[in-house]
Parts: sequence; structure tokens; C-alpha cells
Amino acid sequence: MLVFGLYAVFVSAQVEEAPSDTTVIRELKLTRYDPDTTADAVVLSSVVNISLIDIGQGYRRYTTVKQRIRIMSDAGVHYGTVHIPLYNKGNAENEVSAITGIAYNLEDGKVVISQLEKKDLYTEKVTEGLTSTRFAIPKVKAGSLVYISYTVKSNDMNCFSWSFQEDIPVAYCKLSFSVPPLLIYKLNQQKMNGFVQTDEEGDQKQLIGAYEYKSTKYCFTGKNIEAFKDGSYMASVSDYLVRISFQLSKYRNAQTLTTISYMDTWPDFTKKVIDNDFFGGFMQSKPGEIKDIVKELKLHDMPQVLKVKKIVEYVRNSYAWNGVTAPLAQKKMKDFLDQKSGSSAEINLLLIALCNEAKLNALPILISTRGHGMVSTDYPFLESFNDVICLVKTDSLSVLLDATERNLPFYAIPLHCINGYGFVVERDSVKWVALQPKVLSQVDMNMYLEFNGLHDSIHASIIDKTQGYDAFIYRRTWHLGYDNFLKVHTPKNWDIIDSLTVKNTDQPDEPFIFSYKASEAMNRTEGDSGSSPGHLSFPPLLAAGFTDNPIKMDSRKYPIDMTFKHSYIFHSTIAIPDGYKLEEKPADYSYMMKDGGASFLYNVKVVSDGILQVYSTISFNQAVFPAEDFACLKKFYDEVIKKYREQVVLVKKN
Amino acid sequence: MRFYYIAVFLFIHLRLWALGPDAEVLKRETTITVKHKQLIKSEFICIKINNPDGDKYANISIGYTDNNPVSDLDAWLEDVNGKHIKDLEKKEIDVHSEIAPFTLFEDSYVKQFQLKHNVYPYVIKYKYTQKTEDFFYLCHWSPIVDENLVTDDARLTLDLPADYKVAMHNNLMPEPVIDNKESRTVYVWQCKYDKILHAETLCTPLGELLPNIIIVPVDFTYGTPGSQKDWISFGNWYSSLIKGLDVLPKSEAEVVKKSIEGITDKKLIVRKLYQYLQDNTSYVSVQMGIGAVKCFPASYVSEKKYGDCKGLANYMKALLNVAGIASDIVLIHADGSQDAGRMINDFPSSQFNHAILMVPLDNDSVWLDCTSHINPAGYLGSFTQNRYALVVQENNSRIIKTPAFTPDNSYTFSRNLVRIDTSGNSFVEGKDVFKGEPFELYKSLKASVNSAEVKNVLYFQMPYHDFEIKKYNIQCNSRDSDIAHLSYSILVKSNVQVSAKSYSYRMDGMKSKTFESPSKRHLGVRISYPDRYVDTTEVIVPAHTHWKANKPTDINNKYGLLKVHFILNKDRVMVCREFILKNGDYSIDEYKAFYDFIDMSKRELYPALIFTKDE
Repeated sequence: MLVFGLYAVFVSAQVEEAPSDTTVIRELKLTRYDPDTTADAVVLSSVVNISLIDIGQGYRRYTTVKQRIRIMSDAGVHYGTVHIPLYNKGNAENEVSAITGIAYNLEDGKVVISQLEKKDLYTEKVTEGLTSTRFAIPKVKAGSLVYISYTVKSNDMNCFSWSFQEDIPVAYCKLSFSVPPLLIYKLNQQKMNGFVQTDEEGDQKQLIGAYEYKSTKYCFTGKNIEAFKDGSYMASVSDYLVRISFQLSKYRNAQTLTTISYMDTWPDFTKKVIDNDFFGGFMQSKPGEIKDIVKELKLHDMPQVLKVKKIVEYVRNSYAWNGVTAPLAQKKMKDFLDQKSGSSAEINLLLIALCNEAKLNALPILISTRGHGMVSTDYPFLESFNDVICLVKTDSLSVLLDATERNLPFYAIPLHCINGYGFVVERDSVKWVALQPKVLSQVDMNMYLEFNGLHDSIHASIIDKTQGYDAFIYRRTWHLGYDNFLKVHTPKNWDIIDSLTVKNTDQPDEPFIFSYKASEAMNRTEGDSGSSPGHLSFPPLLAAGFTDNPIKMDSRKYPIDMTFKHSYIFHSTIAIPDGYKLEEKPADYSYMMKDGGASFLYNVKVVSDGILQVYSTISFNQAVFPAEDFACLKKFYDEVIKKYREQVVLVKKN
Repeated sequence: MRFYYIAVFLFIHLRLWALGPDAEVLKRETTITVKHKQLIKSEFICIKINNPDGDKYANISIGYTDNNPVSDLDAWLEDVNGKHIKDLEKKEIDVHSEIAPFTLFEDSYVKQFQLKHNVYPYVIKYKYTQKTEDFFYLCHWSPIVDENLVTDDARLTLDLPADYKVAMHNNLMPEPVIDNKESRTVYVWQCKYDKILHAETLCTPLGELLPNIIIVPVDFTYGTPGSQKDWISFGNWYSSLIKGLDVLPKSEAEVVKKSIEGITDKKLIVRKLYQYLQDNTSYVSVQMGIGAVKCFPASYVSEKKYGDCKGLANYMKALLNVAGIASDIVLIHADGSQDAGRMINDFPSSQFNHAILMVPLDNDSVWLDCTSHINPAGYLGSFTQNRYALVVQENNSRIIKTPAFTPDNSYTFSRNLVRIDTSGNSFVEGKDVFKGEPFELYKSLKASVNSAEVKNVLYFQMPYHDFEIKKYNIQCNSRDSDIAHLSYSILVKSNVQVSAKSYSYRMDGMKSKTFESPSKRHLGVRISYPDRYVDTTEVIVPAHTHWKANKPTDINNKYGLLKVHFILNKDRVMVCREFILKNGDYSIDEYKAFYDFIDMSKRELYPALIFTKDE
């Protein structure tokens, strides 16, 4: 924690008084909120004041929140129950105080006030270092106006943010941030179009020599922020919320008046990370052991790619990942080597150390995983990152590596790591690397179909071959259990008649192959009341192809993030039963989304008397589709499903 | 309500270990000791992890509350030869709250840790102790540590003062070895769990099929002295625990009196006061210490206007007291699933997780679930219908069965008009009427779910594949009605096969459950309440085509009823379908017959209508 010049200012951290009677009556009489008539509750006003107070040993940040929420329906009553999370891990110190909760109700034309009592506050320990203060404001019902205010005191003044957007609409919001005279912050506004910024001089002053420095008060006002509801197909909701973040960038020395950069440059940041005992220091701490391991691996005379493979396999098989992702090691290398279990940082920093010992030019890549939000290239702060992986870059090779996930090919990083760009930790250099997988992900399904004797069921012999991330998903499900695998990876209405045989369950560099026999009942075939006499009709991919459009929503405002590109290939060979001939088959068809984002091919041909073949491919050529392509993508699925439903009609020969 | 109730086990199905299990419990040793009015539980567990897939069992969780904290927790790793590898360090134990969904706060916590190794197999051993002085059950024990793992050797030791009276309910456990020595009696049960069972569709509840034993003290003190020698004694204990809590503050009592002034019909008063409760309170659950069993006073609920199930039921009782109407708290095991466990009627003990209210009137009783803010007065839903429960009344507590759903009060009636288009789509305009279990869903969609979310739920609920909802409306006529209506217009994509000679329309629009085929089924069937669907669909005959008549189906047997009739009426084919899955208990021996009925219904309920193009 930095200690700034010795001066004292007084900033009120008290919660403002509750709303006036006029405001309360006006808002209680509100019967609808026109911008969103479906809202169960509306934040009518959200006022946030952030101020920094010097307590003599540095600053404390006080964030005072005051909100008025109108409960519009029974479904909105739970907005009267509040959870305030507080993070207190490591050096973080956060505490909440001055909690006020009031419910206003109109009863017989009179405003009835019900207040939260201190004894009704509860503290939940959510996880190590994270608590949540929970309370329910009394007498909240549909029609209530709820007033909530509280102050959070924090010792983190370096980097913090506020989200204006919630899962209910916000009619009015205002955030002000008073920055003491000698501090300079960098502001990062996300999706704040339409906000009005009215900065002004604050009321804090500091006289240093002949100069009087005044505080700055940033002020942002927004209206009609819509509810954020759709979090599907996105890496992290926080990337799309209306929010602002603040980063301390400089401060003036009270004695010398020189401006000192608080925020590192990227090269400085790199230096600090490399010099950190739990990053660069961790990798270098046990050179003897590292040397011995590499020696044991007997990598001499191997091509570089095989060396990499062998090292990744060694780390994956020898050290268990404890499920924790972290950018820094959490224990000493010696303890990690002894315990054989650790976080992503410990595992991947070991991987890097081993690669470098094997002269493979490996570099650490700091990343922010999906769910943790995109990294901003403006902020060289370790807090922006929550994981570290490895880049091996030689003359013939450039590949991202991670040794925590044993079900992936050695050259693939886990799905949660695919998130924008990663920072290359290399002295005197500022480089970013795209976290885009180069792995081919594909499902290739081969089917042989033949009718049973009664022609009321089709028997299918299937071989599925999956590669890349698709293989990873199949393999991971396989390891969760046989029954679960069948449930997830075989069509719902198929009766599996022969047990599965599976290949390469533990060879992640190889395709995951499984084969089985199944039958699909022909609900109405020859002789039944619902079909033409002498006819057999069925979709030639049965239920194996796409049968339902996964995109249900009517519109989309955010990109659709599928994480990785992939494709499907279907081959179906159909044995036409004796005594039957082909009467009708679906026409060949191809379809491409605009700009080639996805493509579809469908061909049916008679290869010989009695044998029909279907070949179809679906390729998603990009992992992320912009919001404006939403309708096209939905239509693409529609086209595929429509084609897959078309039927082959067989008719009895005369 | 967080009663200490009998846990329901959720697993069944024989699993074949082709390659050996990923992990197995080598030993479970539990010792329960009652000494100086203290209950001491000591646990020792030893798990062998055989391969990396078994690593997930190296994550250990131990739950506890403020009343029975965990102490002396030790854990360590060994190799298969018993060589010590490492000890669990204190800092590796994560302690956090475990608050149930829909609960504001409870004093439940978990101690969690992970002990993994990279050389397989390895062995995790851990032990801990829990002590408490406030208890009304000694244990609900089974040899099972994890539902997916066999237990090779399990032992329960019960060490009691010789004169300490206990009641036991033994389900499929061996008889104990009993050792009477001086002033103590020691029981030892030794068993194993070697056939893993997993739940199947609507199967017999696993709690009835797995070995387990429940042991309770006959006499106990929990809040106040009590006894479990019979239901009257147990009811008396609960009655004394909540005695005097059902009194409203005077000011509210006056308001209540005024609101029912002039009403003489008791049923109407009950309804009026239930609606008063619904309009003025909300469900907020706080479970701490004895508060997990004993309700907050009515005055507290009156002040806060919120409470949990027992708090709200007691508050409702207080409202009725003001009107001079007697009512009784009813303790019940609420569970909405079809395979809800049964109460053990001859084992007086706390087997409950919910409280409702029964109002005995002249001819009938009115049942009130006071946590529902949308259901009509007197409506007992799928969570509480058709099961035994304890009516709490001083010196007159008794087991009573709640009213059951029948095909006449739990159904979906549907009426649809279908237009087929030449591109292979169909447009459906429909009106559904729901009663019973589906009513609860649609009523809550109407009342408690954000209208923007309702469409997503409908996509999941409506029995069509690949369709788009163009319009929909959910209606519930009044708050006293137990019927909900859904009207809709939808586009069902590509469900019509268009060929040169005909249109083939595959009917949809009725729900059905998927059961395991007989070769894969291991357990019997239990259907707690009937499913009834009645559907009349009119399909407009496409122009210049004629319909080739379908054959009707009529089946009525012990498992259900299946009717599919077809009538040609001018330009429309009217298809009348009715399906009832009757409630019942069927053993695995007759599963094949049951499955045949299900299989037949699946085929007959979704006929294809063929419209042949005119020559």
C-alpha cells in the first residue's frame, strides 16, 4: 500500500437520508415502467459515491450505494432480499457498514414504512476469503418501494469498477468519484454511450508550497439502462455490461511535486513478474531437480515437437491439477514437487521450466480465462490475469501449451483459456498472442443402415470419430461414466442394442473413436394405418443429424461466442431392402452463410442397385459470430434441419 | 424448514465394473456414543483411488451446523502398502457456509479439502468427531459414503448407557452384535455395500432399497423435554415447543377482525384470511439452532411480514385464532418428484421437512400451504399431495393422509387446429387447460416468472420439436381457481413430409415420459400421481388431397388408458387422443408389461396422417 503526503481531508462517508415523502408517494403510485413493461422490478435510482480518505497509513476507499427499487410484480419481491459480497483474501480488506433497508407501502392511502433491523443481518462465508452479508427487508411485496443504502470500506484504491447494469432495468443512475488532489486515475468506460459526464472541481484542497491542488470529482449520469438478461454464448457477462473501471495511474509527490507513475509500463510489469518469487523465481528455484527430470525424460535426438509432447505428457501424468487457476504459484516449487499436486500456475510454470531446460524456448503467457473477462491492454496489472499458460516458440514450432488437462491433445489449451489475447512475459518486450486454437475440431459420423425383417425398425451400425475439442468433450464425458456418455452422445430416441466399443480414451493426441449398434423404430411403416401401402419413408440420417435449432431467442444484441470452430461430417450408407426400390430422395443441396461464416453441404446418391449414400458436412468456420449475423446463423440452422428432415421414400417393386 | 429428516438416497442401477472401479471405500467406521447427555459421533473413512478418473473422490466434504461442530479432523494420504505420503495441512481445509437455495440464512457449514496424489492407486484416510448436547436422533446411518462407490467394509458401533432407551428402524441391514457390559450396551453392525444402485425413471425410492438404519432416543430434550415413544408423545413435544407462539399483536388482530366482519361462512373466512396472508407476507427462510425446528412467533411474522414454512403456517393459525377457527399444524415431507419417499408410519420420529396447516371444518378439512402466494386456498400441490403427515394437536397428534391427485383433478386438456403448408411446415393454434400438477407450473409462470422468461420456459415445456412461438397467453381466471389456460399460435418446422404424391403429417403435441427398456431396467415403478392428457386436434385437409383413414386405438388396462380416434368432418380430420398414466406401484417382475403399454402409447399417440394428392 502506498503512503501519500501527510494531509487530512474530511469526506463524509455517511449514508444520505432516505428519499423524501414526495418522491416516495410519486414512486409508489407508479403503475408501469414504459421502457420495459415486462420488468418485475425497476431500479428507479441508483446513486453511487466513491471517495478516498487518507487514514494516515494510506487511503481507504468508501463506496456508498443508495438505490430505490420499485417492485412491479410478485416475481420481483426477491429484490427486497439483498446479498452484498465482500472479498477479503490475501491483503484485501473490505467491510460493509451503515446498512439501511426500508420498504415503503401504500396502505389505505398512507405511506407505511418498515425498516430493516441490525439483528436481521446475516453473514455467509461463501468461500475462503469471500463473505456475503445477507438480509431481507421486511414487508416487501408487489407494489413496494424499496430503499437500500450501504457503504463499503476497502483498502483497494488501485483498481476497481462499478456496473450500472443489472438484471432489471435501471431508470436513473449516477456515479461520482472524488479523487484527492494528488492522485490521477485512468478511467475505462464500457458500453456507456448516452451517459453524461460532468466533471468538476471537488471540495478538497491541498496547499503545497505555493500551489493549491484541488480534488477532482468525476460524475457520470445515465438513464434507462436496459436489463441484462441473455448471458448465453458469451465468455464473460462482464465484457458486455455497462460499466466503468478506475485505475490509479499517477500520483504527485507532496514534497517534490514530481509526478510519479503508479501504473507500470508493460516492460516494468514484465520485470516485476519475472522477479516475483512465485513466478520467475518459482521456475528458477530448483534447477537441480529440473535438470534431473529433463535428463530422466531422455529427450536427446528427438525432434522438437516430440520433446514438447513428451514434456507435456510427463507434467500432465505426474502432477495433479487441484482445480485452482492462478497467475502466480501458491506454494514453493519444492512443496509442489513433493506433493505432486497444485494450481495451474504451479503446473504450467514447471512445464515452462522443463521446456527451457530442454532448450525449447518456452515463455509464460498470462491470460484471463473465460468468465474472468477480457484483458485490457491498457492495464498492466496482475489482477487482470487469473491464469498462466506456456508458449513454445522455436524456428519450426509455435504452440500454446497447458499441462492441467489430460484429455486434450498436448498442443491444445483448455477451453476456458480461449479468451482474446494473452500477454507474453518476456523481458524488454511487449507482445500479445491470440489465444486461438489451431486444433481441428470435428465430429465424423459413419452409419450403415438396414431394415429389420418386418421393416418396422432400422438398424444402424455407427462409427463416430471425433477430433480436437470435440474429442475432448466426448472423452471427458466418457470419463464421467458409461451411462452418462450414452445419454449425452447418442440420439435420444435410439435404442442402443450393442455395447459401445471405444478407442483412444486415454490417448488425447489421437481421435476419440466409438462404435455401437442402435435401432430406431419406424413409427409407421408398411401396413400401418398412417402410411401409403408398400412405402417406407425415413430421413436418411435418422435422428443422428441436427433435429432442433439450438438458437431459440428472437433477437440478439451481443456476439455469439461458440468458443472454437468446428465441423460435422455425416456419411450414411443405406441398404435398400430386397423387393424395394427408391422412389424419392432429397435433392442435393448446399448453403453458405454470408461471408462464409458457416457452410452446409448435402448430397444423396445411388451408388449401386440397392445402396444409397448420403454425405453431408456442416462447418462453422468462425468461433465468434457478430450480433448482426444472428438472424443468418439462426436461418443457417433452420436450413440444415429442414434438409435433414426430408425423407427417402422406398417403394415395393411390382 | 430444516428438520433433521430422513435423507432420501438417490441412486440405483447395477453397474458392471469391466475395468475395475475408479475408486472404492475400503472402510467406514462410525462410532456413536451417548455419554453424560452428550452425543459423540466419531467417523473414520478410508478411500482407495484407483486411477485419474477416481480423483474426483479425493474431494472430501464434511457438513455440520453450529449445534454439532466438527473437531479433531485429521486426514492423510498413504500408498497401497500403507506407506504414509502426506498429511492434510490445516490451511488446506476450506470452511464455508452451505445455505440451501431459497434460504436467506442457515447455520450450516462445510469443511472441504482435497487430497490428491499422482501415483495410482493411492489411499485417502480421514477421521473427525462431532459432539452435541441437543439432539433428538442419534444417527441415520448407511454403509454408503458416496453413491457411486462400493464400500468393502462398514461398521457402525452404538455405545449407550445400559438404561438408555432407543428406537430403531432397520432397512435391509444385518442384525447387530450386542454386548452388555456393566453399565453400557454396545451394538455393532457390520456390513458392506457391493452393488451400486442408480435411480431410474419413476422408480421405487432408493431410500427403501438401500441398507440403512435410523436410531432415535425415545426420550430427549430439544428445546423442551420430549419423547418419541409414539406419535402422540412426539406431537406433544412439538406442540409444547410452539405453544403460545400463535398470538397476533393486538393491532393486527383488530385489522383481521375488521376484514372478516359480517362473514359467517367459515370456509369463506378461511379463504379471506389465507388471501390476507398471501397478500401481506413473503417466504423468507432463516434456519439457526432450534429455529430449524421451532417457528418464529406469529408476532415476529406480523412485524416482518415474512417467515419460513412453519413461521407462516403458525402465523396463519394465529390469523384463524382471531376468527375463532381452530387449526392444526401438520408436519410433512414435501417433495415434488413422482418418486417421493414414503413416511415410516410405525417409527415416531422427525421425518419432515415442511409444515402446512389443516383447518378442520364441519364436513371437510381445508389444507393450507402457507408458503404459496399464488395457489388458491385449500390447494395442496404435487409437493404435499397423497402422503402421510403428522397432525400436531396436544394429546391427539396423529398420522393422516393428504388428499391425492386423480385423473379428474390433474390433467392437461388440449384443443388444436393445424394448417399444413406446402413447404412442409405446420401452423398450430391451440388452447390448453391445466389442472393439478401442470396447473402449478402455468400458474407460477403467470405469477412468479418474468414475462420475458416465460417464452423460454414454454420452449422447454411445450411438446413440439423445432418450433417457433408466434403468440401465447397464459390465463388464470381468478385467484380461487385451480385451473390455468394457455393459448398459443406456433409454427412447427418441417414436420410435414411433402412428396410428389402426398403430404405426411406426423402428429405431435402430447407429452410422454421415456422409460428404460426392460433389458436395462433394474427397479420397479412407482407413480405417485396420475398423468392425464386429453387432446383434440383438427387438421385441415390440404386442398386437392384426400385423407387415408387411420386405425383407431382403444386400450384401458391397469397401467393406463390410451385412446386415439379419427373422424373426418368436412375439410378437417379430427384426432381425439387421451392418455392416462395411472398411479401405482409395479415390481420389476411386471415391468415388461408396463413398458409394453408405454411403448405402445408412444407409437399410437403420434400417428402420421397421410393426405394423398388427387390424381
